[in-house]
Amino acid sequence: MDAPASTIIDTHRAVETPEGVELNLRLAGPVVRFYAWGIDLLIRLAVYIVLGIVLGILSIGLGNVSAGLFLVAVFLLEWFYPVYFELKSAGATPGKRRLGIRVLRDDGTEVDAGASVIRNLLRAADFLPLFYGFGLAAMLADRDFRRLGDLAAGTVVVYREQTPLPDTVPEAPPLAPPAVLTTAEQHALLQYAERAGELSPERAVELADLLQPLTGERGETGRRRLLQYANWLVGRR
Amino acid sequence: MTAEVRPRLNWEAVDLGFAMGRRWWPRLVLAWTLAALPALVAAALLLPGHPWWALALVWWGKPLYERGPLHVLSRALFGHLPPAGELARAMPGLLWRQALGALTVFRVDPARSFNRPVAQLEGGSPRDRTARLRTLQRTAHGAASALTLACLAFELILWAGLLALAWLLVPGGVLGLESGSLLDELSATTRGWIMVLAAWAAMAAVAPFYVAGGFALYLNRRSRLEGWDLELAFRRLASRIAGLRRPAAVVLAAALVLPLSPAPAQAEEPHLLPPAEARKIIDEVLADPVFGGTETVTGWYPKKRATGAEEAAGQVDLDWLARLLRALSGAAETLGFLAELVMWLAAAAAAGLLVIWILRHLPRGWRPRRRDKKAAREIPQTLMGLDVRPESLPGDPAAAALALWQAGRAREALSLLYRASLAALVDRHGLRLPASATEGDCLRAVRAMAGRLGADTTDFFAALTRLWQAAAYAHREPAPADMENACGRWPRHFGPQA
Repeated sequence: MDAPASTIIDTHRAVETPEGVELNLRLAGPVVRFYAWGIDLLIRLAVYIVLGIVLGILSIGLGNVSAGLFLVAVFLLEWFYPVYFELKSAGATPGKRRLGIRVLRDDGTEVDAGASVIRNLLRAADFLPLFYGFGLAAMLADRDFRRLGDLAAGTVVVYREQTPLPDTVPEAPPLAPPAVLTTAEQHALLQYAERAGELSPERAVELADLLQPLTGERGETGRRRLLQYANWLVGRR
Repeated sequence: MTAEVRPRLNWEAVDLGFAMGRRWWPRLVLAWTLAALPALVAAALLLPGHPWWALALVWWGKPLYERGPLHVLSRALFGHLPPAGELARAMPGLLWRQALGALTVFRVDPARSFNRPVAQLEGGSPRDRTARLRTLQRTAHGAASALTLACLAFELILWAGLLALAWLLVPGGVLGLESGSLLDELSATTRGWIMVLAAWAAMAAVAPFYVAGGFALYLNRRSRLEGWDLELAFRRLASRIAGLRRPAAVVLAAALVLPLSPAPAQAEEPHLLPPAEARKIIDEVLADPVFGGTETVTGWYPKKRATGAEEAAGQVDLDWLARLLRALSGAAETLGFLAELVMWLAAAAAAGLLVIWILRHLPRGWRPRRRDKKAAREIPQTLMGLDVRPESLPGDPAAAALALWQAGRAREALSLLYRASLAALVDRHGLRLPASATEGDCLRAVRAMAGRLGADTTDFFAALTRLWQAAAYAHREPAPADMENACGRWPRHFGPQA
């Protein structure tokens, strides 16, 4: 992602596909990834404990073989647990899924086997010098929060699509806006209506007053007018 | 504003904070150090023999050092990055206010990074502040606590990393020390001070991100509650509208008061080019080298096929081989060996074929369900956003379409006709397409069914598709003859008795 360094600080990155479609990647930073990693660690520890108990009981019959089996299991789980889940369930280990993030390639496409294996084998480099020190430093220093494995594999960790807003426009008699509005402007009107319950009444009126050139009204009437436009925009007639 | 304000999830807000921390890291570390370095020196002088107690003391004072970075952030957000001198002057004022509370009751609050901006940037009496925090904190308290915990972990990681790096990289023999690591040879107190210094450095490195993370959470919460993003959008819209209205202000003055007639279209349609002009622009774009062109490749290639002489040469070679074989064939062992070789080759080929066959056929046995799911697609209800359930159509679509056409609503007429055709194809001819299919996909699928439908019907559908696409996407109205023809022939191909 070699987007020109913009002066506005943002965690969203626009990526254009070869088809000319613009995708918006919402990059996930170190904190949320730390917690996702923590959940995955707990899951693996639980598996080790169960496995340890089972193989411990079996070791009465198997002897040293059960210790060997345990080591094989540890090897497989440590190296391929993330690879397996990233490929099987859309780029998300259980921890990432729980926190609503996933791995993508930096051009916005799904992560493939090669990229997943590279980014997870390089955990060895990220782990240095101790407890993911280099990985953390890389994430803090990189514009796109990538650790070394991500840099090598060309992957990013992003939020899955989630709307943080309630998407219901309160009912009001619909009314067409008196001017043609661009998509961004329609979007702003809808947001205003959707967040009507969240804004304090005084602030809602204050915001509506800004649009006096559009509504031709001030105060409460203007606020209601905006809700009416929003109702018209969502297709109520 | 130098950071993008938009409603974000709390996690995303923290990430924005980390991006801010990264952008202004040197200045933020400087602001942190201005208070934290004197604290470290004071603690060292106070407790020279107890590095760990000194560290605990310095660590306890963290809320105070974080005020400088917050001050920098609140200015930098609006485009002014305070230089070092200005920071040094502002420092005493920042440190003394509410210092006692910050070091006692509020030191243990895990959400201090979120609470501090309220106190430091908004001011107000303590009671106001409590009420304000209650409004703001609702969802952010958990996120701020999580941020504190994560940053504590980050500090520990960096601390351990710094020490491990030093231990790995400082070679034996340095400073006249013999084998083993540097740390082992030093006195316990000196070792302790090295660790304390590393811890202090780790805290300094993480502090900008921690403060910025809490600040961004606070910003997010406020912009959400107060609609900052809406305010920006509304201001832009208002100034655009004012700009539009100004030239015709006199004419529109009356109209502004009266409710205006609804705008004809809400879509972004700045201007539609006539097809001829559009074609010209398309040709210009396509002429760009990016979209291809011709390329000359030079190289050496044989001019003609092998001549008779060369063929003869090949013949000679074969003769030689044949002579050799004949000479060898005298020995029975050689023959046996050759036969064996052939047999093994055949066996290897058979095994290879078997493996390929198994690889190709086994997955089907393993995952029967997945294939079944694909085969039994549900009957689609909408295609290309058009409702294709038969019950959504009028009784006689062709007549209804003709009526619409005569009423001057050509697009709706074609839409109805096309939709009715799709409905008939889905309902009576078993056309199965995903809802995401395009007109082109649909046409291909129908052409593939030409055997069942008849070439006549397929051609009719193709012509109808073209008319519909021209009307729907290029805004080109169909010629009257085409339209009447389509309506007239429709019942024969897709009508109920067809």
